Amino acid sequence: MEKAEVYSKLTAVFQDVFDEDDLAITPHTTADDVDGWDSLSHIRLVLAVSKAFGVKFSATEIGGLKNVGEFADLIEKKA
Amino acid sequence: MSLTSPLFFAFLAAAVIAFHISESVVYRRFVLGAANAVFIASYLSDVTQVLPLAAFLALGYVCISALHLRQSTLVLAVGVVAILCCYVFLKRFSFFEVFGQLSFPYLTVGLSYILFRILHIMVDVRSGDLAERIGPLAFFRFTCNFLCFVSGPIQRYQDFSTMDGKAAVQLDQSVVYAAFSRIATGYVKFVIIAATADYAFTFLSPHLLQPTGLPLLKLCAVYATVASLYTVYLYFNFSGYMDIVIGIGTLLGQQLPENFDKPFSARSFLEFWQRWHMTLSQWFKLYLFNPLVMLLMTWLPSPALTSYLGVLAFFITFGVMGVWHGTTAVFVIYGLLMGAGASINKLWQVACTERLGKKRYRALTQSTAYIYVARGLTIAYFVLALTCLWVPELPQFTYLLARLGVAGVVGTFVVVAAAFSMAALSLDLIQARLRIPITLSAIQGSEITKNLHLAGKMMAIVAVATLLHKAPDFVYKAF
Repeated sequence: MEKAEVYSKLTAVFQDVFDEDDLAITPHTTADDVDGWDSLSHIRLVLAVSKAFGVKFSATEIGGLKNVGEFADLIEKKA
Repeated sequence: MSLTSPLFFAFLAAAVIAFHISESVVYRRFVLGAANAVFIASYLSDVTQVLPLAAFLALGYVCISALHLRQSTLVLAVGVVAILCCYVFLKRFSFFEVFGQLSFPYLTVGLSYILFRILHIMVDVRSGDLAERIGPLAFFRFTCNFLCFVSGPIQRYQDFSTMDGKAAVQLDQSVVYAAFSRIATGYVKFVIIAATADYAFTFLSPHLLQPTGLPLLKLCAVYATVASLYTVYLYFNFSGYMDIVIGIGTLLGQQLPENFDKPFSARSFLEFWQRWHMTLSQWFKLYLFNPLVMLLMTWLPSPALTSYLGVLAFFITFGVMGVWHGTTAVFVIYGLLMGAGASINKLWQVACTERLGKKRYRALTQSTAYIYVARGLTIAYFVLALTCLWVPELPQFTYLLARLGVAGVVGTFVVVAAAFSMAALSLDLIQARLRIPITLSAIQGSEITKNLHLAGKMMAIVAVATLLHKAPDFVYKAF
């Protein structure tokens, strides 16, 4: 899957999970930059991403993500 | 081997010197393995005492090997159940006394942390995060690393494996100085601060459980003091221990993970747990909380339920963590109190966000008054909940609660919270105003000042250790 495609699909998932229609993400976006991105909504986000891209993540992958860039790279590798 | 014993220093010096005799990986791994064996042997008076530990390790190794052969959920489930049953049996949990116990005395130190290491390897082998085949000797070096044997930090195998005798160790002047400085700081915390707090705690705490009662006000004052002293003792004992082992680690080519990150600066209970005993809380987050929340959310996908599922997961996670800490019913109460703290914190966040909106809530949490009130409440809650660790028997625990009553507990909580808030505010104000004169900061980094500082710490350690006449033991060894 192309990176641009990953980001456009990922943006839609973020907007849906965090309920913010104008939410924009960059590779450097972290949990601190998004209101309400906490340990619980992180799991909801991972579930939504798994469903949207048809991929699965391991415990270490879920816990080890530092920013959106790492998440997108991981998705690109798996999808 | 006690951390403050001459034997430990001799052992340490031998291990560090032996390690640096040769750069051969095989040789260094042999030294590390032998050091672990000697360290464990120092706890034994008879060779049979180590057999249950050896059996536990062997079972763990069999499970991991089975998972390497077949990465199936069934193998993982059977393995986890077998490991947990073996652990619960060896730790002699009071709830499972009916299953009987081994009739001879044996070593239980280290089991609690070996459990986490084995379970983490099993889960990661199953998910494919850990593809490397682990040999039996590497398995021993990882699970029984003498630096982390008694009480962590809980390292991941992947991080351990990148060092494990093969990482190049450049012991130049600054590295060695930093290591010794860290070790000395650890001993200052351990031998001076924690031991003094323990001394006062041991002196005052019997008053709380004496049958001839103190009047309620005095009882609350004593309770607040005793509970605070225990917290000081626990933190400085544990974090001092971590400074010592992390410092030694750098001399043996091991970069161990940090376990504390200024926990008393936390502005919420949830933040506190990101700063306190970090490797334990990260382990629980990774291998219990996250999978549990994921499972619950898959069953009940409505976003409106998110915080309630979170509350349930907090209670289960902290409940398990509580039971892991000790084998009596009071530790279940400890877990539930921690679960309640995390849940109240989460529900408060959700309620505030709904009421004020995200931006206004964020502004509120950044106001000075809110910060210090929140810091006080966070620490006071933790300080009182820790009572479970120093009154671990249920009859005494209920007796203390009955004597304090609701008024006593609430009163003590308010007093501790207010005292901590004021103290934190004053300290921060003083720190912000303190300016080190330019002339002083220039000589601050000089060799003489650095070494004077280190020597001063050592002198203080010797002076206080002589005064107290007591070599403190490591508190977390009991858990």
